[in-house]
Amino acid sequence: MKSVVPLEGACKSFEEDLVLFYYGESADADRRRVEQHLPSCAACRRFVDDLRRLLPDMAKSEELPQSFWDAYYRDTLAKLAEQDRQKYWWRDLFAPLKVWAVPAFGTMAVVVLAIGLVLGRGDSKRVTEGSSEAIPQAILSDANQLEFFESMDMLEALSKLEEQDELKADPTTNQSSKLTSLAVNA
Amino acid sequence: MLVATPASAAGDNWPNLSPKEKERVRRNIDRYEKLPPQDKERLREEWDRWKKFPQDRRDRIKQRYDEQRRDRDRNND
Repeated sequence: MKSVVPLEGACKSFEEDLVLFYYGESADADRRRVEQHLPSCAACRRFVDDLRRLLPDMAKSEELPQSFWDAYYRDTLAKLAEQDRQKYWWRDLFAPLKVWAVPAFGTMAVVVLAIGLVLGRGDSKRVTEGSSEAIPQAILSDANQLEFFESMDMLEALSKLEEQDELKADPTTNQSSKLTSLAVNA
Repeated sequence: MLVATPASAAGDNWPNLSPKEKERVRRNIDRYEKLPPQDKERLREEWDRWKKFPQDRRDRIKQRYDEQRRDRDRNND
């Protein structure tokens, strides 16, 4: 293995520009500034020389045998399969059902639809019944209206009922029974 | 004169009625709507008069009317 040689120190104000200069990525003005500076600065020239010497070595990758990459590939596939298995574990539950799963689910869907339709019809019936149970508009505005319509039959016979009540209060009169029947037949 | 009460009061009482009572109320509403104005007026006057009766008299008359109605229903059956 090659010994690691530290980079020589460059002028602080030029270090970054020198690296960019080495990679050829300096802006024109910076490149000109570096080119003007280098002839007069030995430290910066050594710095650039070190970059030329060291960076290519750092960029080199170690050559690995094909067997490594084959094993790496198999290992990656195994890890992906394991990850997939953990994520979709529930698929294993349905694995034995696959042969008849489609017709079974189809049948189930039809049954659910039929039940839904039957219940839906029941609901609509309930809604219809509910509408017949709806409070009549005539009594909605006023609770007295309900009492009025409950009592309407009696109000129509009120005069006769009053007469009966008065006759009953007067025991000397024995016509109450006749009036009673009058009121009933009214 | 009718005293206005909240609509919810009628709505609260309605569910407590038996189906037969509800039917009777509906029938009376229909019948009332078809009455000529003078008959409606007379019924409203009777109603106002009824509301002014002393409670004991109202109870007596109501009881008498209920008895007669029961008898009538029994005879009709």
